Amino acid sequence: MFRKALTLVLLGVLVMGTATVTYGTFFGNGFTASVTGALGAGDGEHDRKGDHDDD
Amino acid sequence: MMTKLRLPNAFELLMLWHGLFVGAYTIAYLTADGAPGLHEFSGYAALALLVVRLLAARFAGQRAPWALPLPKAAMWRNFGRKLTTGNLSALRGRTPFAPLSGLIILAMLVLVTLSGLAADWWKWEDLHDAVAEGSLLVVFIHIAIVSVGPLWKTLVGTRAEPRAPALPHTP
Repeated sequence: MFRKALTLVLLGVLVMGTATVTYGTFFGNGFTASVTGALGAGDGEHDRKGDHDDD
Repeated sequence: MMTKLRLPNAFELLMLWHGLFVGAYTIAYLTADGAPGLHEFSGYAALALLVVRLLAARFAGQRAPWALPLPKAAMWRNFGRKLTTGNLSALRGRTPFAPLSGLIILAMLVLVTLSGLAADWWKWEDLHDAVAEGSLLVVFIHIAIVSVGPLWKTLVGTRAEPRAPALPHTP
């Protein structure tokens, strides 16, 4: 029961991750930027805008 | 061998909803600082999923598993009675803390998503940042509560109980 629930939860995470990357690929900054963005490394948007905290 | 396909039951649909929400929340949290487009996408997805969950709870009424996870008084009484008699098996499996943490986390996530909406429309970003950071702690508490019982049951509960000494046979 617990394992089945965990599997379904992980499946949902995978679906949501794929949806986000698909959205980012077509409406955002491309596939690579979307993957790095979804993993928490940023999608380069701030770099393009020159929006740095240390400026 | 043929595998017979069937429609998912209500519990499986709830777990799938839970997984989609976990995915949306995780991505929204990870993209909060570096990827505004993805953050908005996953945030609005989380909001839509919460609306679906609350509407489903509204129509489900008292029927499990889509009803709101209200911890029942009888569940607390049973749990308390077992603990006061020193029966630690009450901590194995599902405790009343699981639905309570589910209810708290639902309320917290409604706050997070609504404050996210306010941040998007009226730039109330400080409020959203604070609530979202606080929600992470609630998420970790929820994970701990729902995992400890089943894990304990798996690790400890499956061990064979010591058998009672056999009574001497008196013919």
